Amino acid sequence: MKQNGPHPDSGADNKVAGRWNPYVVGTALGVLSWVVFAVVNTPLGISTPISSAASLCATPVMGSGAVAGNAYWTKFPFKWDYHMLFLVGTFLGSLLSVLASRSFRLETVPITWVERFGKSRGKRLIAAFLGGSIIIFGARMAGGCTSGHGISGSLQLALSSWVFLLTLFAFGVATAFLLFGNRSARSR
Amino acid sequence: MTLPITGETARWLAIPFGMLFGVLLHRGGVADYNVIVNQFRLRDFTVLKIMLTAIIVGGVGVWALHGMGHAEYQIKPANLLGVALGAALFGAGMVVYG
Repeated sequence: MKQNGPHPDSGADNKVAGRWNPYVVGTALGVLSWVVFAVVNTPLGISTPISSAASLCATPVMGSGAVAGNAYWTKFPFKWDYHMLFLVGTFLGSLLSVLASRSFRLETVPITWVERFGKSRGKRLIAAFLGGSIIIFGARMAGGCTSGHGISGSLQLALSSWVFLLTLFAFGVATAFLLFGNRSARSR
Repeated sequence: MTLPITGETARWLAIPFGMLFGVLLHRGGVADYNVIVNQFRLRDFTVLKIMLTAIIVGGVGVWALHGMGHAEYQIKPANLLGVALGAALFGAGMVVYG
């Protein structure tokens, strides 16, 4: 996709218009955790409803019988429960936020990707599909994601959540090194 | 009002709570491919700054709430092999997807 002017997101720790200080955002997320723990007794988390909603996409592909017989979807069927509405809220909140910041644009190939893998949209779309599939598969296997384990679990000092967070970062950094090597993002 | 709120009211509270969560993730920059990928390339520490601050602030508050009897811990089962394998896939996937 065509870029107009220098891209705001390349390089490290750049100030981007409309972006808030990370420590302020982290503090606010921490306070939001207090509220949800106390008010609805439900930690922040987001991957379970995504997996449940996947059954809707699977029905035309696998047939409703196969979906109904699936052990995971029997345990976590699609329903408009708290978690599903939280997911809807997250989408709406980020959408309103991006519209309010006037930075909304459709972008298929992000700048960091372009610098390493080129401008091909097809290549990026295939990689994004595979990457996204691995993420949600991993989240199901681990029983949580960067929200459920990474924030909510870790703040309770849950062993499994710290194992999740440390393993995620170790493998993420290793994968980034394999994919990107030591190329400088600032060499342009 | 007695806490925690349950049932239908709690269900609808999910929308404003989710919206706050979405606004914070977007404004923090962690909905951005470049920020995520550059964290794993150790070039942009936004993700870690946000997560560790949230863990510390959230942890102290939830611990205090628990001490006062206003919060219950919700710990996921320590199925460590599954967690570690899942996290490894998740981390690798994040570098590709963003």
